[in-house]
Amino acid sequence: MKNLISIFTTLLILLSSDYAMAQIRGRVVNEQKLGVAGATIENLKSNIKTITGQDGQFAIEGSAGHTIFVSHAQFESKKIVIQDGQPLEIILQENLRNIEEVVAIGYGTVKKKDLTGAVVSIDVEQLNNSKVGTATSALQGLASGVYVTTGSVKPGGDATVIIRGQGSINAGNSPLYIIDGLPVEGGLQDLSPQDIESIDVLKDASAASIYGSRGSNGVVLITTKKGRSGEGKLSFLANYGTQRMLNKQNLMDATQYFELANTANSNYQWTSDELRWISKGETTDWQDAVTQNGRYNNYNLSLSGGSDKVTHMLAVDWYDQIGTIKNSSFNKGSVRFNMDAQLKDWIKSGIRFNVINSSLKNINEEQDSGYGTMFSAISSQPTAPIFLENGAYFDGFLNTKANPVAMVDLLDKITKKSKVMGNFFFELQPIANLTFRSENGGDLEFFNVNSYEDGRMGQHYPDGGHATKFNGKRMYLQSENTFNYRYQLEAHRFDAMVGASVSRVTYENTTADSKNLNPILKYNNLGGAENHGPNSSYAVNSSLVSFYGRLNYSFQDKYLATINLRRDGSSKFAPNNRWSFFPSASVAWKVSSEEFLKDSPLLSNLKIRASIGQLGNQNIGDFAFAATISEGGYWSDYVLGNNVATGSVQNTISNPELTWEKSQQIDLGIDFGLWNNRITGSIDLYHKNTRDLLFSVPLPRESGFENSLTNVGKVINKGIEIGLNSLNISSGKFSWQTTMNFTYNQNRVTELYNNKQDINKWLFVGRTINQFYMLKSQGIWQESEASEAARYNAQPGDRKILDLDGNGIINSDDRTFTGESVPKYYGSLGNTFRYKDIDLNIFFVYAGGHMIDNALNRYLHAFNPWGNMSQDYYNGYWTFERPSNIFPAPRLGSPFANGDGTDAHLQRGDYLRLKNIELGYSFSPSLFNSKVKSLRVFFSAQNLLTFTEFTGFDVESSDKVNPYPNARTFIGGIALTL
Amino acid sequence: MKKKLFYTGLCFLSLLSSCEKFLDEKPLSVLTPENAYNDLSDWKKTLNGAYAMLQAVFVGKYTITLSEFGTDEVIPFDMGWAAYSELHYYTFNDSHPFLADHYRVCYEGIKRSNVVIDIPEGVIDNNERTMMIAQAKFLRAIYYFDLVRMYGGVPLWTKSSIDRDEIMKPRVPQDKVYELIVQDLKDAENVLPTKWTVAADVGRATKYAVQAMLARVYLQWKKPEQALSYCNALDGKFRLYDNLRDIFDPKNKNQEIENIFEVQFKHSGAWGMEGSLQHSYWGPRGVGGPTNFGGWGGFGPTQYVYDSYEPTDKRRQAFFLTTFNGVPQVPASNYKFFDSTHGNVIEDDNLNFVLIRYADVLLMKAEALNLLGDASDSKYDALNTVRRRAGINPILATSNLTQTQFADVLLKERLHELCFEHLRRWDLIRFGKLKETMKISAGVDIQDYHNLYPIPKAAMDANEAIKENNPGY
Repeated sequence: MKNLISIFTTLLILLSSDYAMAQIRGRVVNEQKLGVAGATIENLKSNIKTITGQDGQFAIEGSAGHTIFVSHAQFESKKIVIQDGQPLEIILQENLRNIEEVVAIGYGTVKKKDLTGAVVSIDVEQLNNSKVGTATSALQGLASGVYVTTGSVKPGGDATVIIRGQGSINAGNSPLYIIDGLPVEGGLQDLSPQDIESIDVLKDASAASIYGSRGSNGVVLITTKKGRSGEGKLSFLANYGTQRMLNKQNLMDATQYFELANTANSNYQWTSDELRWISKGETTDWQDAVTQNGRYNNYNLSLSGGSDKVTHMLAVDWYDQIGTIKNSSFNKGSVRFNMDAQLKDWIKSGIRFNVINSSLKNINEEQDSGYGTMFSAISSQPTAPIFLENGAYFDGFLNTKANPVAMVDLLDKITKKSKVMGNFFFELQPIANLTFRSENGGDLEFFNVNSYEDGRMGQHYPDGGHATKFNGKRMYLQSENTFNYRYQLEAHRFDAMVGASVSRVTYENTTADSKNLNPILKYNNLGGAENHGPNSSYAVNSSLVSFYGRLNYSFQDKYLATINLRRDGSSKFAPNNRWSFFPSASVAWKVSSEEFLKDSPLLSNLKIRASIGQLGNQNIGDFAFAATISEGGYWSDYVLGNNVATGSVQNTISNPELTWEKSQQIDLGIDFGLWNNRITGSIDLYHKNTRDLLFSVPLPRESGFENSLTNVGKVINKGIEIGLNSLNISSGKFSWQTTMNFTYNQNRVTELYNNKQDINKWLFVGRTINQFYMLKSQGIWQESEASEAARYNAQPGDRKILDLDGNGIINSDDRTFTGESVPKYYGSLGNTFRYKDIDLNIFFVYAGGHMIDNALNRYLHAFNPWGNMSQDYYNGYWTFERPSNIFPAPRLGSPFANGDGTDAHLQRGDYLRLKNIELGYSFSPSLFNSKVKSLRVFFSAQNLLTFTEFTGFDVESSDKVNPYPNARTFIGGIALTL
Repeated sequence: MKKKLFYTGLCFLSLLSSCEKFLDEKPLSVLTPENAYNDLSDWKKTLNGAYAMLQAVFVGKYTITLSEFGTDEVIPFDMGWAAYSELHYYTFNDSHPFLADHYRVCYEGIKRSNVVIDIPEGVIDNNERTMMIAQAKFLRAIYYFDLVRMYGGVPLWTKSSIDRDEIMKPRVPQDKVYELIVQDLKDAENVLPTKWTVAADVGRATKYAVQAMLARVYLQWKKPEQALSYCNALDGKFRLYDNLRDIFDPKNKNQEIENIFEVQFKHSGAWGMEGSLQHSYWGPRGVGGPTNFGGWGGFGPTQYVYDSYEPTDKRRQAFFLTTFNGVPQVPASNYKFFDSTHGNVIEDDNLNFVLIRYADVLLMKAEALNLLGDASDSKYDALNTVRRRAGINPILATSNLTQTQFADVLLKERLHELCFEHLRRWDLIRFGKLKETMKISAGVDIQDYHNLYPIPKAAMDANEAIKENNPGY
């Protein structure tokens, strides 16, 4: 504060005086007196700006008494009053995170330069490239080897992350997420991105094996912000945006539909309401009827500060989104409180506390997607009016579909989640170099889904309404206790850690179901319903006990080695197979610290790393090893004496041998910096061999058991990851920085069971686990081919399927490999430009090498007796006069018309998306009184452009049949720091 | 919980101490063999589970037309679905999903029956045990019968225990399967009552159901003599309804007047429970689907079967709809399985599936007599009982039909009386007429080997003891 006042006074003095301007020259250096390139120098008197060159040199107009402001992302900003006498040497201190330059590695941190494993530290600033959505989805494109797939882009929808390819077929591929030491289920969807201080992704065996049985899919470590000693800080962020739906499908209008339906089916039954609607020349655009412009806003307030002994951080975040489909929305409020206290010289303690409450109003995502909101809107006939003349919803849809507008108006489906995550620790240092740390915490989550289906939504729904209520509670508790000892003997440095953990999950849920109830009270008074059931409940517990240790060794700060050991015991396996051991080792050589490279002008940093180790995956159902007997349900029950007779069935046979999936990984990597680290980067090669896959090995069908979960089979993922960061231009007022990453992954099944292929699951040795195996379609049978078509019970105008085995019959023997469903390569390209106070950020993501089954086209690009079709189909369908080689003739019973089981609707999935383009303006601090430290306003457009051949709603999201449309979002915001 | 806390504490304090007990979690929502079977009610649930597979074998989404597709009786309209058109055109291979499903649910039923048959002595009341085992044997016989007529010889599983070393069992000859079926049925025949007197038991297997099944099995096994004796055993025990529509009316469930054994269903208020999907699958087409008392329209009777009735045959009216709610049905749709109360609910109607009824027994009797060269009027009497109810002229014994001519009449009569009741395919095969009929009725050329379906690929792949599939596949 004192500093500020003095600066302020200086400023005042300066304002009142009038010195002659001159070129001030100087050099910005770090504490090691090495030049700092790319630092911004601003003369606060004149607002002239410049940027330091390669060696930290700069020149700026100014004169004695002027204050210049020096800033750089990796250093603490500094204000200097120009004194007489040149040149200036400005020494910058690396900012807190960079001073330590530490990377979280699980149960501890290590200096970045001492890392031996493949760990990516994500630039948290870049999370801003995705403003709409969760912190998980914001990871997209931020690290090589980390593939983010969008599940649904609905408000509140989440993404999934796959690190270094899918190693598992049945046990899940999601990485382990750890927030401040606490493993969290379901990724980062509840976390406010503004709370994040750092994200470190542990990719290879050496890095992840400290998490043993849970580390096989990689580990994402999140550290949240904490307060800093010194002056308090108040930050406020506000974003507001509007969303426009993307890729509306171009469908037939009522006239076209009327004509086509009558052509194809002379018996077509038009309802009187439809005939009236058509006679008026009306058409219903159901997509428009259920969609709207969405809205998004996010406010975040954080207060932090502290004394020498105690620091604290309080953050409040509010996220609110109204979707592009009417009546769908999501909001989330979160409060975080982090505190650290140095009680005595030898004892420290702290807490991390986060309360989250969210509410999601969902569209209809019924499992039978034929009733889903968007699918209904796409497929409803345009000849149908929304309302009847008496004001009631039209309910004469084909195939018992629901009225899409009634669905968005009346479906009341709310998912609420309340969550408390807390963790407290104390750390003792009884003697020098030895610390004991005990971290204890947990995660308590209440999950509630209320749903009310109104009878007016359509014939598919019970007249008197149908309400369900689902309540789930999950509690996770853990205790982790570690000893750490540091020891240095001349050039040898040791850092050892041993620890033990116990954790337990308890989970329970209840579902209640009622029909015929009061439409006002809905799910809030199930007792008043006429019919009850089926009701159900479920509970399960699991526990994990672990012992682990790590030894870091460094010689002369040039040669590094790490050994990790972990032994895990899990309740998920039979008593004799509960324990397993997960070791890893890695070495690194800091070549650039060697004499012969020390003064190299080109290579400023070069490190070579190698690691090997074994990890586990225990993402497996509880009691999968046990024989289980279930009671109730249609599969078991019968009817006797005209009453339901509860049955029981043994569903599985026991497999006490069941154990973890294990993956053995090898990683080779280099980290480099060129020209005084103007260009930095990492390249990694990896080979991940997952064996003992948890695989449902078919049992002889005659046993009455379909399969038995067994550890067999192997999947190999290998690939290359490249991450680059370059300061292209850094001169005067202008700077240009580029970050890019690229990952190529090859996924191969190398072994299944009993030397067999599993054709039904599309699993083949030597191919990816994401293989498409389908009939090959090749256009349409033409008139000239009529006799050949007849051999296959087809006519001209039908879809032509290749008889690959040439036996004159088309059946599943004719299937072939038609591509894979997961990108082979992916990555991102980001460019940041700064000119004076203006910054421009352009961020692209891309992926490719895969095919997408655009399942919507089975309805839109063939004659669909159950609903609307595309304009393309109307204008292009096959007739004798107008032969087409794409769109089959509109004939009922035309074989393979909808393309099921064939590759007809596979489209190339390659895409390049301009995910974020953002223009910002930072007001010079000199404009404000001393209270304002910084103020930035920005405008951002998300998903502005996408280049792809895919024609469905969104190339990235996974639901293709009942999709939530993606949106283009325009956002404006301010960020203020006091 | 206190205990858990204690162990947690223990783990903390001594890092090396064993935490095995902490890791001992117990399943809370499912049972294990150690705690599932304690008393009579537990064992009764296993029997209910064995009965439950009847629903899946005869009225599953995939199994519902397995005896009809590929015959002259039913045609899939949704040829766009390869699973349908392949069965119609006989272009299927061993990967056909319906066959895999059928094979699976049959053996699922056998597994469940075996659990009951192996109830140890002394754990429940002996009389109850005997009764339960007899019912389970009846069920096991039905499941094996469905397998043997579909696929020929199949592996025999007769024990409930699973030994991983003996899990691969080879196929046995067809006769061995039939022997087991007949033995199971005979065991049941000696035990089961002719009628269950307690209302809550209605729907269970009876002695008459066993005898009727024995007749059906023996006939298919080409042993008419034995078949005849079981048909005779049912003489006078049942009669035909006067009104044809009474046979399938849900109001008449389990009356045991004409219907000898019914697979039980019950409208439940939601799909995927104990309701049947017969109405939704067979219902009239073009009327807006199941919610308007219509059907999905995926398949239906052929024009061929409708046209083959005499115009005066009452069954044409009773079993077919030519128009519904003003929508013409071309070809006519199936009116047998029509629930006028709950048919407008999606896949949750109240129709039982009549597995075997007295009209069938009468026609089987006529068939057996004809095969045995019986010279009396008995076979004409049996045939004419059925024809008389249909309101068509009896065929007089004086018409002196040859054995072959009589068989032709009988096969047609079975089509007209028993269509859609999961019998046509087996009738055509038994009469040696499948190939000829498909050519005439649908213009589809098939081979002799098509009388058997292939063992599903999923089963071939999973059982190394099955070395070869049926010839032709």
